[in-house]
Amino acid sequence: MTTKKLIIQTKFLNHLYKNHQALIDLNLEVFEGDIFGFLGHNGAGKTTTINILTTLMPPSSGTAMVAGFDTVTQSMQVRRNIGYLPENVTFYNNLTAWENLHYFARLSGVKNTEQRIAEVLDFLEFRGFENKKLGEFSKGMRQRIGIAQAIIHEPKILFLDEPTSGLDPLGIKNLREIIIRLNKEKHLTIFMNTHLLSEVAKTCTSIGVLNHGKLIYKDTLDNTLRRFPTEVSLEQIYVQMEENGRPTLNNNNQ
Amino acid sequence: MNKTAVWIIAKKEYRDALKNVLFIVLLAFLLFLTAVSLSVAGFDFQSQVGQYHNALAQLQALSQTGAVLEKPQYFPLQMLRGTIEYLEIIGAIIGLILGYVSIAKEKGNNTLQLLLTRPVSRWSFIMGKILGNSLLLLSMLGLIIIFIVVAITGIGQVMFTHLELVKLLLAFGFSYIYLLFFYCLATVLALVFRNLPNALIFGFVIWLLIVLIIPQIGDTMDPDNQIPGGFFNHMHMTTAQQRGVIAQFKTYETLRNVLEESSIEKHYERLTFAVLGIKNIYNDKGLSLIFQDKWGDLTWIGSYSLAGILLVYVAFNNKHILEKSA
Amino acid sequence: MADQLLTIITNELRALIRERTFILLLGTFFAMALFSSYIGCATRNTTLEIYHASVLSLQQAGVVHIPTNPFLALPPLSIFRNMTIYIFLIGALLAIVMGHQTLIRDRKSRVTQLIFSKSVDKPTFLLGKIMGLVTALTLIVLATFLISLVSAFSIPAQQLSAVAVGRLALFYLVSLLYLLIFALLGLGTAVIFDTESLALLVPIIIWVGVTFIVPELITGQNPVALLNPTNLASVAPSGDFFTLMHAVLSPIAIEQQYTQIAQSLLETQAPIPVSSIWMLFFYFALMVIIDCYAIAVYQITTDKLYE
Repeated sequence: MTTKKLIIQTKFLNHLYKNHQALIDLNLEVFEGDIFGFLGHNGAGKTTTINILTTLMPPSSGTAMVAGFDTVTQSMQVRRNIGYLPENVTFYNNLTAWENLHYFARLSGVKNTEQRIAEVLDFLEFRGFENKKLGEFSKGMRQRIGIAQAIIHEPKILFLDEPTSGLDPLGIKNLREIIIRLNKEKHLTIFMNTHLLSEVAKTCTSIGVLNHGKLIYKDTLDNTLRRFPTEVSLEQIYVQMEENGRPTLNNNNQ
Repeated sequence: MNKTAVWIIAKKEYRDALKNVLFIVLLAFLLFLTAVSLSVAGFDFQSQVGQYHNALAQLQALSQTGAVLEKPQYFPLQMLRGTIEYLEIIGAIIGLILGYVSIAKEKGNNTLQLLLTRPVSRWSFIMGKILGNSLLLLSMLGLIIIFIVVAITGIGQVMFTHLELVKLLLAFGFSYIYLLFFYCLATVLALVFRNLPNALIFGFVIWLLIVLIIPQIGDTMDPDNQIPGGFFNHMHMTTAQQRGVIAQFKTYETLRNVLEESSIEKHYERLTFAVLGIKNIYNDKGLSLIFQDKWGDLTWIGSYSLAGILLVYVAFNNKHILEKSA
Repeated sequence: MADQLLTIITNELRALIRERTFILLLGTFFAMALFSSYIGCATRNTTLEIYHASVLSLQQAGVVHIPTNPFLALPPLSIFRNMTIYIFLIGALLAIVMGHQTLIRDRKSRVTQLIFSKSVDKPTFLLGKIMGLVTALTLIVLATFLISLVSAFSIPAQQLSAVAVGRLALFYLVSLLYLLIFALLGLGTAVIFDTESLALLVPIIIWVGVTFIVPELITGQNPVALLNPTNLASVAPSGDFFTLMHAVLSPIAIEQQYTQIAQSLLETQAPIPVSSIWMLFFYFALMVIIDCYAIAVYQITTDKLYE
């Protein structure tokens, strides 16, 4: 087996909101070329993790390295190497698709902007919509523009926060294909927050499960399926992990 | 600071505002108000001239000379009192709206995260936003100046002297500094508040207090203002006598003064009224004399706006900024 | 229907109390009410002392005929004259925000869809909203009246006769009517417009027009000067333009009508201009009609604020 290079690594990452500990000693490793599915219930701390990894906020304690750079002290280098698509982003509705992409490309320091926009739109099979305003786009079309702005500067890692949220089944299928193509053809490492198990099973190569701020499980998808051979579905595995990982207090209450 | 990024953001701010119906409506409204205030000032002057001629005719009918009457003199810059007051009130609202919109659109569309994950420092973002909106405010003021010059020279057939033009430009430069404060104020509020409409309403409350209420309190506390026509006029007292009396009420006058001093609007008004000669003692005076007297007011409005920019920086650098954009 | 109405009204009041913006505006308004009485009293006491000091100064200068004390001619209620200005500045803005919130809240959260899927019809819904606003504003105005009364009796003893208290009460009643006009305006625009900020800014622009522009066109006074109660009484300049403006704009000059009523109540012993009160009623009725129309044409299923 070839040894893969670490591309995301967190050590004892903690994050404390006013009166709520969102992350507890998170030690996470993601390897180059992976499609990493970060699973967890609502409020488990997934978005907090992404916010820290994408330099949007510093952790309360601990360190996070992304593409070999520290997210706090080397945030600019991190930003050059990542693309990010937050949940429910609607972009600038009064601008066209091209204008939106142009703006984000320029801010990412892309030099040959027009050529890059054309390349990205070609890759996403989205030509012909450049001059339409985003206000006229469906959720699925917006999501493509979202991916386009995230990869326009050719990053190494793509962060997606609940990318399938609000999409119809066809939209989900299309997005899944895009994610797999980005990984295979553009060699992008993908870090995806989700609470949809079906997505993880169909898209990801490795998974991590977060429960109330703690990482309770992490392995490749293949190993996971091997480890729980008696379970019929991934959903059952997930429920089992979640229940085991739940704090004792909750168990007592049950 | 990443100059290219600053410029890219500034350009987008400018273009966005030009596509913003609200901004265009407010701008048109301000131009309309400028026209209203200029016409009112013009008609008011005409009415004064009419009264002068009537009084003169009456005196002449009684075979007396009109020497005791003072002929109303026309100073074009004095016609701008209403315009400046509308800039104080409505201009400040436009500043507020620009500041609010420039942050609200990023929060509402969830693009704030997208921007903050670009390799551009937060300082560059702020400078981009401030530069773009400064250009907008300056364009808006420029448009009003053109409007005024056309109205007064074109329709009123009065030419401005070079000094008057310089004074006009200076007054509008100060207006920019004044409006920038309101831009910064709304930006800070929009960054700090989780609920955006609340930020806008809170901005309006502060606007009410510093633009309308506090100066109004100072004004109504003026003992001379209690009686129509003025108390000291009623008492037939000389200026020296007035000063002697007022000197005995130092605490009251200090309180009144502190209230007035605390409002950026009052400083802006004192400064521009002096420069434009709306305040009679500065009419037709040289700039050095005006600045000698009004240096303090300029420092005040400059400090307010600078503090505004610093507050924007602090608010933007708040690590909890994303928690406030849920 | 009565039950539904009561439910809507109670819910309105509860929602208002929990709205931070409302509390903030209300706090400002109450603070200004208290402050205005204080300023009124402090100014009055100081001006009386200033008169005595002036008399002394004139006597020392050998002046024989000393003018009478002009401040004595001011009726005791004139200490509240700043309140007129706070009503049409902060009060009207507060009323607009209240009217605006009451509907925008329901539209944004799709509560309108929920409500109209129950057995509530549009007239009941609107009536409930309006009555909610009336109740809330009445409570606010009542509280302000009490603040004024208490402060007038507690800060350097003022002697208010029963008639004066009656006139003050009447002033606050008229103020309530004036505020309701703006609350209903805020409510109407909150139904009509498709974006939240436009729904808030349109009534604010109308408020600026009514508060500054119309009075300026009629009196020739600059906007800031219009905020000084002493100037409100001043005579309009002569000339064709102002005569024309007066004729054309008087029907929409509701702020002027309000200040005239307020002045006659607080600063003179004169009878109240009844026609001005009728005009405020007319605008109140007009706003109700506009609100009825707006709610009648409101499309529940295609509301753009949902998105």
